[in-house]
Amino acid sequence: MAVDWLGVVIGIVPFVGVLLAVGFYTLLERKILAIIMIRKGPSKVSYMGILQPFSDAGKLLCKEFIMPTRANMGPFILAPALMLTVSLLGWLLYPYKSAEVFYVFGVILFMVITSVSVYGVMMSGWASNSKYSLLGAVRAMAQSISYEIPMGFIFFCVVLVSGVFMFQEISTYQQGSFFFFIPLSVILIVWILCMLAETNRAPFDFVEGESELVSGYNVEYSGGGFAVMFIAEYSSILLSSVMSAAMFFGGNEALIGFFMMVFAVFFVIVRASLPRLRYDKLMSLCWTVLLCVMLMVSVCVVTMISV
Amino acid sequence: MVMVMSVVFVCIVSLLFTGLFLLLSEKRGLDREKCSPYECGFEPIGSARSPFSIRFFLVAVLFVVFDVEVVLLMPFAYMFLYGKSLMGILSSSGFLFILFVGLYHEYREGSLEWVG
Repeated sequence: MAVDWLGVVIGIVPFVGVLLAVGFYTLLERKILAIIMIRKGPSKVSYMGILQPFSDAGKLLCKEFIMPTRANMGPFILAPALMLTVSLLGWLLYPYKSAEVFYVFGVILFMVITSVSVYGVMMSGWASNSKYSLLGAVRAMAQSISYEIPMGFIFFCVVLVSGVFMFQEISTYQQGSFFFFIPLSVILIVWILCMLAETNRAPFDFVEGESELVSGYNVEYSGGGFAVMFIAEYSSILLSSVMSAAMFFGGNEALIGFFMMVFAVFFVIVRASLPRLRYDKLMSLCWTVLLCVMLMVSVCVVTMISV
Repeated sequence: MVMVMSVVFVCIVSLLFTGLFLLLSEKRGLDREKCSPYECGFEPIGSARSPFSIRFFLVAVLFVVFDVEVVLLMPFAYMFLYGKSLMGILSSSGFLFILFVGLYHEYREGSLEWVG
């Protein structure tokens, strides 16, 4: 049987790229946070701290991985691997221009992947057999699944306007004519809120509300397990910024790349500048505000595309 | 082929990371205090698998309902690719209206309020 080496390369290279990107994104985040707090940030490792992510990864992999005696060993070790697998699989949906990989129902695959990513959180929180991690996991799960519903409506609207479920087509639809950002600016705002909540980022990071939950579902993780979870989290952040760029500022590769970077930096700046909300406010924001807004907007979009 | 490769590669990478840190990590003697679950320096009190708040369960139930509705909405979007009929528009708007009424009912029942 002949091995399709081109296919092998195409299947592997993007994920290596993603892992590198995640490393450098953590460096970018630390640098930007440092600039905002008027300090230097990592600057010692090689030139201006460029190799910092690699030394961090090496250090975390070599650190002790403590296993709580009462933890369930199998799920406890496998949960980070599951999280990383799921969040990397999302990158299959990257809107490549030269389509060797494309998914006709990419939007639905994205929804599936965001839903499945909850299981990793659940596994890690439950398996560590600690009160804090269980509470953190339950909170993170409730938050993620709540914000999946407005997200589903957002996808519904975007698909209605563009007329396809494929991310490539959604972005090429915007070529030449207009960004979806212009007619769908309300949806973009809701989408950004959803993405911040889905990835458990800054104003909505109740998973790691330090004062109440110590560190959420990953309290018991140390060393390598924590590193793997961290990579999973940051790769999903990068993926969501790619998706935002493709859905609302699509057109060509360069534009998607540029706006992806804008969104990635935006995530960091939001983290640096906004205080944490309260959990009940987050939930009521989702169920009473965002869901209502999205229902209204869906009706508007349905009527708009039909006239 | 590409997709199979990607999925296999992703699985291998995450298992490799896991194997790597289990292999490379520093091994010290196990300490009773170190291996007990974190509870602010106290001895862990009671079981960690305690029953949790019913609110979260309620959110999960609501999620199931609304997510099924999102799933049922998606075919409407697919339908509009093949021509826009008045019937399609009316039925999708009606579906959204029913969803809205359902949401309003939940709101009035008070199941969307976190504290209360």
